[in-house]
Amino acid sequence: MSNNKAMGGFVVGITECDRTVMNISITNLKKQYKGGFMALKDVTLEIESGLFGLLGPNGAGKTTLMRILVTMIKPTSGIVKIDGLDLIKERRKIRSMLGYLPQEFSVFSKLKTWEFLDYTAALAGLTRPSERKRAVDDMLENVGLYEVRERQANKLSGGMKRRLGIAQALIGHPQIVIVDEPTTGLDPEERIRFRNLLSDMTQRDIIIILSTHIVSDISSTCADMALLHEGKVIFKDSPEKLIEEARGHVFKIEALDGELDHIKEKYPVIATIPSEKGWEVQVVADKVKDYSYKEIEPNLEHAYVYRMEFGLSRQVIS
Amino acid sequence: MLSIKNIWTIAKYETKTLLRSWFFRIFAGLALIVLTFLNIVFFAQAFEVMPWSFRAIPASVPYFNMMLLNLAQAVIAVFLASDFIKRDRKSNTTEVIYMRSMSNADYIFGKSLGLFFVFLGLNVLMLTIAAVINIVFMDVAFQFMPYLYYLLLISLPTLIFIFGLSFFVMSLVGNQAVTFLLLLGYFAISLVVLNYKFYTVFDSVGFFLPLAYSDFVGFSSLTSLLIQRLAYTSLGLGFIFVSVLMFKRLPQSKAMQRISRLLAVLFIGLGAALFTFFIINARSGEALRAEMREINDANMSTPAVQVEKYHLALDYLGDEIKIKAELAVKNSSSQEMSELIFTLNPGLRLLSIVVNGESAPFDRKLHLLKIKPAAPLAAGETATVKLNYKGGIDEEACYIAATKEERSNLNMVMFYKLGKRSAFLGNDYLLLTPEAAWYPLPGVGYGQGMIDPRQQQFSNYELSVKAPNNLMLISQGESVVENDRVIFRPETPLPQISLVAGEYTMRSIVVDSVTYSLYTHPRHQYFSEFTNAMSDTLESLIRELKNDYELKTKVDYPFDSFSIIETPIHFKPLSHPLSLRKDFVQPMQVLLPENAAYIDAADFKMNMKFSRDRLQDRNQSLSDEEIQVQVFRRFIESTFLGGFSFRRFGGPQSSNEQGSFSIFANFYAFRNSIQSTELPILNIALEAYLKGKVETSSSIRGFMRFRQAITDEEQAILALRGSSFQHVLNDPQKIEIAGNLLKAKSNHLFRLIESKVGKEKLEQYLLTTFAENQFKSLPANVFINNMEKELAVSMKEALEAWFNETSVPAFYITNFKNYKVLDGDRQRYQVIFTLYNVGEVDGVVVVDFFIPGGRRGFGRFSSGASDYERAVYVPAGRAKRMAIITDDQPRALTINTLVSKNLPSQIIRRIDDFEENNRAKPLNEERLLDEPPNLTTPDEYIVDNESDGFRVLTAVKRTPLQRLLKITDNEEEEYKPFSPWRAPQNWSKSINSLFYGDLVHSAYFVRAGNGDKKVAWEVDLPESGQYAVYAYGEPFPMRSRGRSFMKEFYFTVYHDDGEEVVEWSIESAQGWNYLGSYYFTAGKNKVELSDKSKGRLVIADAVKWVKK
Repeated sequence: MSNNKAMGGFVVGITECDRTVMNISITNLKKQYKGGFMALKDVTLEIESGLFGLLGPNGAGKTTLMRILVTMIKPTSGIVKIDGLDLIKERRKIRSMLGYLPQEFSVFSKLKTWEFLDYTAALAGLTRPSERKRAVDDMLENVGLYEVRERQANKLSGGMKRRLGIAQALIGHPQIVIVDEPTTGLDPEERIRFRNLLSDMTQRDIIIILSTHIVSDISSTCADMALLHEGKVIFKDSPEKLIEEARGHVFKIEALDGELDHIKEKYPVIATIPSEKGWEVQVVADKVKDYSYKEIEPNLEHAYVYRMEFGLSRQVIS
Repeated sequence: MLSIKNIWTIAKYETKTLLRSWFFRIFAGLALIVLTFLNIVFFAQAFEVMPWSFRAIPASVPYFNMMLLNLAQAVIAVFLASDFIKRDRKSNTTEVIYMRSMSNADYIFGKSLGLFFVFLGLNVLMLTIAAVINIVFMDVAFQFMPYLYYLLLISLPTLIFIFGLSFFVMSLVGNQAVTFLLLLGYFAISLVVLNYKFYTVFDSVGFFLPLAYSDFVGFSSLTSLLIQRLAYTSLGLGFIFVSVLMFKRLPQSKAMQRISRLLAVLFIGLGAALFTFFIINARSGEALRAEMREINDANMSTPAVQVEKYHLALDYLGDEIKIKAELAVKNSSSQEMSELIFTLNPGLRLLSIVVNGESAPFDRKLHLLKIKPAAPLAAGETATVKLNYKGGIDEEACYIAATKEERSNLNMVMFYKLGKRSAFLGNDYLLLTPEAAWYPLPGVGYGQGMIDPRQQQFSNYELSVKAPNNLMLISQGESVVENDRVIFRPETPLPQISLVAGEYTMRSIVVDSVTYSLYTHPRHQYFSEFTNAMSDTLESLIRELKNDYELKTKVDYPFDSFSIIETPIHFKPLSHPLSLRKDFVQPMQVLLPENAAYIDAADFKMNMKFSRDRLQDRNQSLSDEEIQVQVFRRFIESTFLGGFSFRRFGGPQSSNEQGSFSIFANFYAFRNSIQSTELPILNIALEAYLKGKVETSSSIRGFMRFRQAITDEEQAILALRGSSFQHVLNDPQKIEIAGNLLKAKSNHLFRLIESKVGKEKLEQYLLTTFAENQFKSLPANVFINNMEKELAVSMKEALEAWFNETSVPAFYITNFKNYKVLDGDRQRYQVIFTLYNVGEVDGVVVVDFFIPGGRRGFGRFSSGASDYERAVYVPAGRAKRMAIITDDQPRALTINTLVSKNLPSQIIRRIDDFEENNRAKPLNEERLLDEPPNLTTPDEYIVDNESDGFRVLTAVKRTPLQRLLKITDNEEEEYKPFSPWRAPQNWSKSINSLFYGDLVHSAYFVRAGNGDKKVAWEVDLPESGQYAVYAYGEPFPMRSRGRSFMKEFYFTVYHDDGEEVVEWSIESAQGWNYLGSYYFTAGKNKVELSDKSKGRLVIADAVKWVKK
């Protein structure tokens, strides 16, 4: 039974039979590159069905973790089990469950849009030509690329390429979809569409791992998330929990012109808005001294900054 | 495990990607355009200059196309194969492919298959174009299967090997540019440096493999070809599996990785094993022949029986023969014989031997068979020996004395590598010459020496053959069918017989009771449409040709039949060290290659067209019949009768086998034999002398010296510098030149006798002796003693000097004069000159004239001598004045100095103008002068390029590639071919009659350039004064599109008032050419010449200063 739902331009097909209970269990995962750089330091994570956000600054180890999960690189140590299958020993099975959209996705060989999708569909297990053709056409329709199916893939616009990227990641009904920094470089409209698409995919009982350094991507879509910093998981829970941590630590300060620089030196500034008297500055801090302030309701961005600035020493993992 | 679906998907999209790549499109487009153009040029005869072999070699079209396309695609395949790994690294979409569920082997195989498909498509497309040209334009039949064979044998193994190697190297090196350079370097080295060496082991592209296809037997040595190609295919597959292991993606199937590892080892191991087998197989022949030579040496002194009669009953059983041989033998030696020694091919297994009705024990060591009769055979006693044997023919046991070089050299005609087969014994075709020792040959053959110890015997033969009905049987003598056997009974005793069985069409004609037959493959009838108009004249033409040749040899054709038999293109009889003939010629037979493929005169179509064009140019016309007769006559004369023919436009000749099909052996070697165990060489020397008298000598062929700077005979004579003939014959290192030296020396010996006793007298003696001893062996001592008695010449003394002299004569030709003279009321032409032998030993030269239309025989480049030809004896240190008078105006004087220090050994002096000299009396004499002529002229100072004063001022320049590949431009050879089409980059020396010189007529030449390559002639003038300066030069007769290759030269004369550049055109030159007069101070002075010219080349020969 099809359960198609239009969401901001993207339409994703989900069927009942796709519904399986999935989980990813990562235990003491380490990755050290040849030069000695430790990209992952003892990462332990449990990921359940649904949209899982992996947040962290650049260099936190998100891409390394993604590439380990999609079997592109081998961990130095640790255990990863996907639906009970060992990532190292059961590569064939795991690969057949995966859909992957890498961070960089722009350079194609000389294939047309439909051909590229057909190629990946065939490799994803859609071997019967008629079945594959239908799936490719449907997917192109769903991601809004049907009209440009004859265009060479490398001549698509940036947004179209991303859509093609998500199409290839979704074709063949993967049980795990891993998307690495998917909204980088997209305009706001495309980004919203993309987020909506991810949310829609959670209708299926699949795991979607969204790795990003853009906080708003997580806040608007993920029910569960982890915060990665310097190869370690420094937070793992729902975004609300993270926001909860920051409650009482986000302030709005009314600052005069000459005070702004001083505030910036003293507190992590989230936003600076010009006001009649001077500036309205949003900061995170344990406490604000010397300035008149007003406590405000935190969002995930505030929580993320608060955690990165003040919470690292606590190393709280829910 | 492998997933066919994944492989297919990857292959499909790799193919699409490659087909859309501009690199491949440009390459494929260029390849198709260039090859189509070449096909039109070579096969559709667009420019009418290409040698016959391009159309005549069976399946030449697919061979040519595959060979060239393969070379080009090898380079492109390296690039594209390494490119996919590079593309994968560069393309960030690759990860979405890599994370799919497929094994690394699926991916690599898919990619390989994709690459393979595009190249296969290109190959098929090219072959289709070639096939269309083949069908539409060519005279010779189109056959489909060879197209497929060449694809499978040439292209496919190459591609698989290149893909594997490129993946492997790219995986190892990780850089496409470096991979490309490494592999390109490997191919360049394997093609240019290693080429066919080491038994073609390094020939990965199959360029040097003998891949010519025969309509009779298919490929030359299919097993060996398959082994080599399979070895490369196997290595290629092995490397592909190694690349699977080295592929930078985490493997997903341990089993597949293990299998890949196993298959990599297996395939590489199999490749190595196949190569090892290939080499062992190739080397086994060498070892076998060395052992056979040793056995022969050990048994050389054992006398052999005389076989009076052979009765051979042969059953042709496909790849085996079964023979019952009955031999009537006689002990014609003076000793008792306890062993009867025979040679039989080691591939044949003896089943039984019976001597005089009793089973006889025997020893068999490879080819050598020693039969031990119950009682020794007393001198003069006869016996009957019956042998029963069966088996195949080991071709490695043939031509055991052929040089390694001849054996390893490619048998190549144009681009085509024909292979070298000595005999054929297969299901559909059989060709056995005595070299295959298919019947017992008395005695042993070659050992380590250069002379065949086996004395030629004349025996009566009866051959009865049982063969499959569809095959035609050909042997010597008339054939009759008795029951299910074909019986051949030659009418006369013969020295040897041969047997051919195959699918043939026969045509024959009887002229003057000689049956002439032509046996050709049923598909090879291309010539019929070009000979159809001459059927009425064929009989008289054959009669005329035979009479002409008999007139030249002064011997009647001694047999009642003559057959021309087409044989597989791979048939390549090798040379025996001192033998003058190849086994293409058998008694009463000539074995011609398929379609006469490397005989340009057999290109009837084009030759007829050329004849018509020539006639049209001269506003003449001939009927089709007349033209056909002309062309056919030229083919017969140049191929079988020792005539010589040039190709039009100076285009390349198909092969250097010219002369190999001469029927001369039927007039001497198969009819007579001088037998001697002490002087076995005398028989060959006589043959060489007699053959040289009727056929074009190589020195005439080498007249223009485009291909060789010095002829083979001249090269051989150089070996006599400080060495005797005997010494050379005993030196195994000199085996390469011994044959040519023998030819030169033989001619020298008998010309010397001729010069002493007179040409007619010697000729008469020889003709009578040979006629009296027809079809039997004449002992050498009888021959020599009779000769001494009848001709009053000391033959023994001459032979002694012939063998042992360590010096050679050297001739100056001086005091040349020519004028018209009145002889009664007849105007005649007087030529006077002095022959001066400055050498330490007596010498002989052959003097003759080139008189247009004045020679007997065939056309302009006649092989026959003129009526004025004579051998002239000149003692050491003496001079002889020659005065010769001719009826017709000679164009040139030719003086063949035979074995001498002169280079070229044949001096050709053009005689342009005969002025009238009414006071002179006609003179015809040879006069030995009391005083030698003065060779120097007072006040004349000549610096030749061979003189000490001549210097090349510019260092030899080499391109970086030449330096890298160590291309030496044949530096070791002192003299280079004078080829105006390919003049050398650096000043190089060549030999030519038209160059100035005392004993060596040489000059330097160079490709025209910008003037920075210079030479100088430096003279030491004894006194100051005004001198006239001359440079030597003669215009060359050859031209390029009607224009001379040479134009103006720039000499710089350094004189007291400075220097002057003199522009001088060689086109108007005539010997010594005046450059100007200048004042020179005594001492060193010089003239320089640079390479600057608008022509193609510049020649530096000699400069002369003449005091005024």
